[in-house]
Amino acid sequence: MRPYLFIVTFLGSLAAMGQEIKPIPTAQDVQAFREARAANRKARQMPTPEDQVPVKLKAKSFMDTSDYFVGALGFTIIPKGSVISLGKNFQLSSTEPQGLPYMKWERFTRSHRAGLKLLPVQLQQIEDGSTLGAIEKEKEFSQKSDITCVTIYNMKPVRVAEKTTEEVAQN
Amino acid sequence: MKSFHSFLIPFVLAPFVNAQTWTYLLDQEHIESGGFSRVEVDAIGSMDSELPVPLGGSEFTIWAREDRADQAPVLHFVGTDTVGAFLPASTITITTLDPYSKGIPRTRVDQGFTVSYEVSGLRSSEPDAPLTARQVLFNHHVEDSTIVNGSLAPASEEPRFISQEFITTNHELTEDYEDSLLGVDIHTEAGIETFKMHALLDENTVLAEIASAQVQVWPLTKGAWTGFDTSIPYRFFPKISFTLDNLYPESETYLQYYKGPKAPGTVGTRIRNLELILNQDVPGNGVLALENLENEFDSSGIWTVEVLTKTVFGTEIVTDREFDYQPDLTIRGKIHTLE
Repeated sequence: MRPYLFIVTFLGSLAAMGQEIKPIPTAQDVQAFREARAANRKARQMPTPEDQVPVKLKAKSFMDTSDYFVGALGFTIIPKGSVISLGKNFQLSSTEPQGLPYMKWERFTRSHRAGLKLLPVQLQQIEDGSTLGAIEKEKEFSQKSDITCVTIYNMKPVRVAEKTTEEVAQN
Repeated sequence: MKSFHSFLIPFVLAPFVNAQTWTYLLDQEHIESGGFSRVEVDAIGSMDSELPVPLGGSEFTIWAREDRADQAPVLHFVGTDTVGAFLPASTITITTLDPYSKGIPRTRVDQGFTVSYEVSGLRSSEPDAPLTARQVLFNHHVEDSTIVNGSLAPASEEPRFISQEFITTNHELTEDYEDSLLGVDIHTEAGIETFKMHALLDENTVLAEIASAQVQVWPLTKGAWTGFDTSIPYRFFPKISFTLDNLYPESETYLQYYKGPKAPGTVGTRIRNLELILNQDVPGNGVLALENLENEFDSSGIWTVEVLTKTVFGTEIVTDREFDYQPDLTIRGKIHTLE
């Protein structure tokens, strides 16, 4: 056999060896796998609640996805990723907010010269808010978000009602 | 207990006893936003904070305003305190052997997945810290589903509860998990496993979700032969087919054959132009139809044909069949006549 033919044959064998063919797992294999992994985790014992703590999984929280932000006054929706620089000549580099701004953008920037804190909310919450101008909706915003993003409305403080246990569980 | 949204601030003001008029003011300023509120208060009393306390905290300041007829009002500083609402931080990530990156990570019922989480910001060593700052709740749920047209159809509206744990220390952890599906049929069951970390208001009430991750679990493929009777020797290879259900996403399924009885692991001859290539994000079905294969087998004897599926988890034998191929088989017989 010529040397190069041997090399080709040898490499071909290696390639075939690398492609291991195995039987697809059976139900028994899968069950054994599941039990083995569960047993491994049991070695780590963490305290568990006596009764199951109710958790609603359908609604995502603001921590999950925050597509937009609400300014400290809660009136303007600012796109996520806005570049904000504070200084003597305060500038806000951003695009005009989409959706339903509560306040003129220019007015918003003027009123936030001292500082700007942006708190995240879900896009869905904004989309659901067909009557964003209503103060009740503002409160609902805060309650759904578990954050106190809306504190002042038309320059008057908004008190966010403290949630009851049932309301928290529902949210 | 002090709630997340409000803060009960006590204040006792020593009256500035004089002929002047005194008014007591309580200021609340959101530290990060600059949101500001000022209310008049009694000299002695307590009340809920006028504004909610945001994550960044509020600074409360009490002033005594002196109003005198002969001069402008003067504000006298009385005291200040800072109160911060608090949430621990967490991240959860799920990894699988499937490098799929276009959506929720994928895995298969026999492969499991790895969950990594990190919790930080807990103040477990401070007994006076609120529960929210001392522990978080780690939740695991599963959404049992069936596959309908390549999509997951949940069996119920609410995910099924699997487990909950309190996490009381800041740490990172990586653990291997098996799926938590019902375990009825590994060839049909599928679902989405969800892991979430929640901050707690108290032992029984979730305050906020602070991290979450999901993984989708798909079944193993399964199939059935049609027209393949291995109890008889074949002189001509018959028209047969193999129907496959729930092929794993982005898989390649084909047939190979080799001379001799079953020998799993054997690399045989792949039948050309007979394959199912699944270029999609979800499982699919398909049929491999075989006919006119006589030229593939060059000698008589026992042969084995295998259906192989190649996924990110490797190349696996879905099914195999031995058959006796006898191309030279002749039928011997006599014709008798009765007169």
